Amino acid sequence: MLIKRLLMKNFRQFLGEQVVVIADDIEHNVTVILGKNTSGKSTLLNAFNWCLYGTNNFETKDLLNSDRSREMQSGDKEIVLVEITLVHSDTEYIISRSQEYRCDDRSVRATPVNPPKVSYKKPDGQTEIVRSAHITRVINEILPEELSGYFFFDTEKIENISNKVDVTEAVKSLLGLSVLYNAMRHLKDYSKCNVINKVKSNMDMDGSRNAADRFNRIKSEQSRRETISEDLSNTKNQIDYYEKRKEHLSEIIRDNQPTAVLQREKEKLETAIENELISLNMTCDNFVKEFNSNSTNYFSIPLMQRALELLKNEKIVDKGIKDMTSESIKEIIERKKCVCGTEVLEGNEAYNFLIKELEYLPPQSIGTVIRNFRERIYTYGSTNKTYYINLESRYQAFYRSKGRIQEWNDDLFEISDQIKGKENIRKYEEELIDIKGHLKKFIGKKEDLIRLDENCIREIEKHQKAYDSLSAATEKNKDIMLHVRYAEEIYDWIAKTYSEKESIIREKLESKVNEIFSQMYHGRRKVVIDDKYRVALLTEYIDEDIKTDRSRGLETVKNFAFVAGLVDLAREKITSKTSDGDVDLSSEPYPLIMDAPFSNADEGHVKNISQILPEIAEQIVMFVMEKDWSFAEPVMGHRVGKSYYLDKISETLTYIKEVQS
Amino acid sequence: MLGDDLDEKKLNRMKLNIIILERDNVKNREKTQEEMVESIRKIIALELKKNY
Repeated sequence: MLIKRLLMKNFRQFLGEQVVVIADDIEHNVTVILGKNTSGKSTLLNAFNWCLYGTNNFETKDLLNSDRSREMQSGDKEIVLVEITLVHSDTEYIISRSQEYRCDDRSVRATPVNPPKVSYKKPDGQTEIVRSAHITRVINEILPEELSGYFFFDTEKIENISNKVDVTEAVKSLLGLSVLYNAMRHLKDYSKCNVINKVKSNMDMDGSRNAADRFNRIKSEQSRRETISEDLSNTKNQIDYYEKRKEHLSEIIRDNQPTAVLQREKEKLETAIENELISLNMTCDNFVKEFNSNSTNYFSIPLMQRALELLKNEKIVDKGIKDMTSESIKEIIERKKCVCGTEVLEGNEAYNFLIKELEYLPPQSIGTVIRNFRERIYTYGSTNKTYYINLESRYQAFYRSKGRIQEWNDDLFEISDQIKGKENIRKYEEELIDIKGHLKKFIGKKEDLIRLDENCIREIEKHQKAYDSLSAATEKNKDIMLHVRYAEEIYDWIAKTYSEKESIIREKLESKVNEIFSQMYHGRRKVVIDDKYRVALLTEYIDEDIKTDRSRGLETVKNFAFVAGLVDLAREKITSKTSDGDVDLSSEPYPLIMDAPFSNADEGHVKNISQILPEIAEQIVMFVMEKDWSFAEPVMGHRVGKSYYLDKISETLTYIKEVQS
Repeated sequence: MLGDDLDEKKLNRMKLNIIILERDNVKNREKTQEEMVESIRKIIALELKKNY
């Protein structure tokens, strides 16, 4: 795929129709678009992504040029359009996507984005429109969306390639393996409709219901296997994802072990302080309660002692009955009968006795009152003794508590200071526990699925054996069985070729990426690519290779090397050998379209990258700041075929102007 | 290792024609899955009928 032209109409700050013709000359394969900050460089990259995949990373949703939007009157309609002309597999394609905006009484509103349109020129020059059902497939065949991030390269935003999702299928498609993969699916792997099943379905089954039954059971088991396989693949992806996350979290936790210890200590202290505060409040409440109930007694001790002192020297008649009052005696006299039943009549002995008793009671005598008073003072004395002890112990507990809280708060402050600005390891530890749970679940599921799949295989083999012996009965069936045998033989050959090529291609890719990486970066590092085409950097250290920290600049170089390796390998001729001749499976040359490609690289790396990229990639399109271009131009300038600058008139208006060399 | 009843020459012609068919369809996407299955089936059937 090589880009010929980008046309934008009212797309963001690009008002009206604006066109960028892309250089596709082999000697002058670089197109440079220079622009200052916010002049629209990233918008150009977004235009490609929006046109092909309907995606963009704008913060505001509206794509229509703001100036044009403001000019619209009620009832007006306006179109936003991006159109890309490209050549893929010697065929010229025009891909476009548009969105209509309508102005009503209140505002300008966007209608839903239209599906893309794809047309291509047939060898006879006629333009053919691709059926809508095939459009997404065609676009993904030209450039798989999963890989678009590598070829539409936003250096400032690109994530680490090694963290990207599984791009295996997309890479295989780019590297020409999809021909073999599709053939395998058509011959046998595509359960709904494949050659082998189709041929078998023509078998003469008259009088052989059993064979038909066996055949259906084989088909049903095959379909079950397909479902299991999909499920298994999803489960493996999940396991893969959680394994990676687990590794990442473990790394963070390991690196922050001292912080984790401090965080745990901090949490312990916080809990202790919380509990101590509760206990402190309880002590305080009890102190107040105790104080409120007994303080009067306690503070009156000196007064009572002085009273006792005074009373000690007084001669007091104390002949009265304890706690008896003169009112009680008067009532007995009025009742004329004592509580013991004795009659109390004026003048009798009992009456006289009671009258005599009145003399010892208040108001006539205070002797009994004083006796009662003395006894109460003694009782108060013993209560006051425990009152003071209790109060004192609560007071001491209160201050001990306060002391502890103060001490823990000091420790807490110190720990908080030490871990200030560091990762919250507890959060990661909790997530790690969670992830381990998920992993256990998915590993269990994977094992179950593998068992189920093995059962299916056994069932298929069993039914196949029975089916073969039943269906080989007739001559017609014999021909069909021969047809099936050829199909199976071809399938086995393709599957073997596919597997061999896949492994060779990965090795080749790794070696190419390393070759390019070593030209861009001079140090003791190398790139490794795993079976999912994820990339990692290793540092050669004495006798072993170890993973080490990386800078963003180094990541940029690594990403460039990976993409350049991919582009370079995609250009290579890949053939499939049959005894009757070689078939070219090669895919395509690919462009590299880059926003701010040098923003993280230093001057030396800029020069190295600029030297290598135009040699490797068939076509380079770069949106760069002038200051970055000043380092690249001396090295890359002679390869520039088209040059533009973004003439920013305002925040909402930029014109693309070609610079004539 | 081929069985006695399989003709290696025929087999190789089938392989070549199938790969060419798949390669062309990757480029032009003219045929659907079902159409591709039918075309491959026909390649094998046609080759089986030929006498070299």
